[in-house]
Amino acid sequence: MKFWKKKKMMGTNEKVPFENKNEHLYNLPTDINQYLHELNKEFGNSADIVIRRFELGSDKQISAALVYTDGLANNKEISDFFKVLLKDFPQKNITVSINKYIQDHLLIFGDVKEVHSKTEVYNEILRGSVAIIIAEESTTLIVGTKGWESRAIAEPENEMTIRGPREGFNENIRTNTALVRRKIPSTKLRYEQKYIGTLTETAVGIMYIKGIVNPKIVEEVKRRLNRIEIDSILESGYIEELIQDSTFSLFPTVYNTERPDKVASELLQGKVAIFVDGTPFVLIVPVSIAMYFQAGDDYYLRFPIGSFLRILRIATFFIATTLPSFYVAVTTYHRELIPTTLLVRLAAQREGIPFPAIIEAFLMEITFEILREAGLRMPKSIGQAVSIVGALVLGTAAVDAGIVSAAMVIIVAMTAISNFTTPGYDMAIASRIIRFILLVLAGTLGLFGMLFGLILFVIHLSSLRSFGIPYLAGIAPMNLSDQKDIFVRVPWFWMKRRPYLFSQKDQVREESTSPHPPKKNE
Amino acid sequence: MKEKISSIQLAFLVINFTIGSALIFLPSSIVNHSKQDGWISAILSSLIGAVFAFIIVSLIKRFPNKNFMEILEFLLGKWFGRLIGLFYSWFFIHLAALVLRNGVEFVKINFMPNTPMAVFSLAFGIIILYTSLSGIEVISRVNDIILPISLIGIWLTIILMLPIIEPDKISPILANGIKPILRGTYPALGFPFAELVIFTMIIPFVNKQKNITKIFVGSQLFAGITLFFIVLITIMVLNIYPTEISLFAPFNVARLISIGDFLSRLEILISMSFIISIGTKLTISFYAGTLAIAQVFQLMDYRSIIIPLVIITVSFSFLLEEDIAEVISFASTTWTPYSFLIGVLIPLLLLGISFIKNDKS
Repeated sequence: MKFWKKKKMMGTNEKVPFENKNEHLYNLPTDINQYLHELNKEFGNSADIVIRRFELGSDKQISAALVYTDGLANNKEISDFFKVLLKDFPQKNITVSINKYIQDHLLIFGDVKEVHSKTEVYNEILRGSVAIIIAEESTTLIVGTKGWESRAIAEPENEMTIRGPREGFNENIRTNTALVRRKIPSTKLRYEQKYIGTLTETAVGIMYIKGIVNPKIVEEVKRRLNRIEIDSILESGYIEELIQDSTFSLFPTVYNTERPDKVASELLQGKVAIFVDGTPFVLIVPVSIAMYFQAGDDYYLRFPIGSFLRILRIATFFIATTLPSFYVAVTTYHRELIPTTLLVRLAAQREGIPFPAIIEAFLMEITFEILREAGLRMPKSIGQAVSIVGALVLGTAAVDAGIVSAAMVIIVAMTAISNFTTPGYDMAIASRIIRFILLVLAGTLGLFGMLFGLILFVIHLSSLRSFGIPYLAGIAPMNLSDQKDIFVRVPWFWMKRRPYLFSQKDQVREESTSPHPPKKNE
Repeated sequence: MKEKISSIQLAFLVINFTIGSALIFLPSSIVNHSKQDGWISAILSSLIGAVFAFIIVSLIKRFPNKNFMEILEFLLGKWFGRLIGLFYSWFFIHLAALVLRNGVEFVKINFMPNTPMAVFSLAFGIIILYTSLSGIEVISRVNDIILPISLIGIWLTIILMLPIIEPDKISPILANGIKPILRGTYPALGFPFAELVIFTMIIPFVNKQKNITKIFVGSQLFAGITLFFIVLITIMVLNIYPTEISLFAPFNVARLISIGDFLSRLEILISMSFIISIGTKLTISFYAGTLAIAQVFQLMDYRSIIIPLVIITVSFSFLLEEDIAEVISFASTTWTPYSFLIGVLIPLLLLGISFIKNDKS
């Protein structure tokens, strides 16, 4: 709780509202001709906006209109409810308002609501709903008929697991929330939504589990989202950058994932998920550095295997960050550290190399980074070329030409492979940049320079916070109970508590005991 | 917002601070006087050091809501209290400059003898600048990560030395009576144990003050025991005369490490853990110094004076001493009465005054 004191002074105690302004205006014209004229003007006669006028009632005395966006609204659904509307509309006078009557007696299924303001009508039409405008009515009926083409639920390609659910988020926010809701069908799972972006009006929702999450974190997330005033949100990266704690840091302070099971597991640990329409990447806050090394496999595989894999991943992260600089420092300044036979070998290899080790390392590292980026951007059909060039350039040719030593190729290859083991892509990419900084320091000051650089990064990591939670939570400040899920993953029946700093409200996760065969007296 | 650290973090800070630069200098300065009985001096000094720690923590505990400068003002009057406070600020900054010099000499001599000292001073300067700007919470979090590493470095050295120790090097025990032992204890009291007075600035940050005496004295004793083992191993491995004359005795011990005949000369790796220990001590001293000055002059935020103070400290580290010989002789002779006065006598006096004042009111 202590980490929230600073925020408290800014006045946290009142509840932060999380909804759009001007939703309660009453400014719809009652004259249908004027109404449609205004609509036409507003949409500028766009070809994909369909406006159909029709008459209601058997003697056709009520003038009405139907407005929707072609392609966003589902035609089948529109014709279905239209049939109902025209067939069952009563002959006699209706005592209540027509809109109310339709809502209560005719369209009693589906998502039907009355709205009062122009902006709301426009927004709903542009999001795929159908607006029914009836003459002399002060409100407009909105029927949810959203149904546009979207990608099927597929396994996320960037976050692979051996064992675990094969479903991933897609670009539809409703599908995404449903995927998580299906995993946690609890009344405590809360979802709030608003629209951000003056032009894009992108749906942004936050999800959390009431009772587990620290309410102050939820308030803070809402406050930061409310502060956003931007014209467009095209991807959750926009939101991430507008709400994160430290912009000028290599390390990510907002987590993103495509996996519903990951989101569910983080929600259960007292975190808040932020869904953004139009992207499969869901944000999770607050984060700690440990999250970036936790893969789903750790929890689905048996615990010794999960723990081993996680230790391996952490070790390879260090290899990916420090191996080239360590090699450069040792071969340039501290040759006594190398066993003699190996040293002789290295010296023989380096004999004809024209560059010092640091230049050599830079050449190879930059070559690899270029290859990697090229492989990513290149059309799949010519992807083969990259691997051939990579193998030849990185492998034999450079060594044969005497530009780099074979040992350096091994080091770079090792680094490259190690870099792919980190499950969090954001963290992996940070390590790539840190590697270059350390390389410069190691080339100029040897191991002392490396130590200096590493200490600076440790200080930096220690000073980072994500939504009030220290970035190194569990490691520093040290918490013994949290150690069960940082470097290793202990069996579930030992992890009785949720992570200390994240879920201070409801700490106890489970009370199961270790499994055992039935005892004699049972 | 007032920053808070936990009592465990305080313990970690105390351990790393006490081991700090003492680790590399203590064996030589003790063995110089007490020869093969140096290990007795080491254990004796850490026991006496525990008394020092007790005095300091008792003094702070008597005024739970005051920082050290306020205590000084309260007990000694406004102007005299501030004068003493200024004296303390000088001591902390002086200590930081000395530790900085120790670290720089250690790195320069062992890692890169041809590189100018200024490079290393600058590196250390950047680190204290960054840490003190970030505050005590960050310092303790960094220390949480660093302490295990430096302890592993130290204990690994001790354990890897076990195959080659010669236990008969410490006999005959008490050959020259008790006097050389006391003579050897004396420098160890001033450096590092009396320096623990620096924690008068840190203890008020601890969130739970309940077990603080136990934790503070306990962690000091743990550090004392580690230092004792270092002294013992150094004597047993290097023998007496080489220990006396080496600049950084434990570094020379680490030089003898050899694992399975193919990994040898690992002293650079081990000494990296020594360096981060020194760095922590430096950071704590400097942070305490800036905080003390800010409190004496009642500044709103201590951060405004950090940059000039970093420049002053780095320059002092050059100016105060000529070379490594002077560094060592200063640490084992002049420093002791100086830090004794500030670290033990004045706190003891303050404790006495606080009892008298308490009786009156």
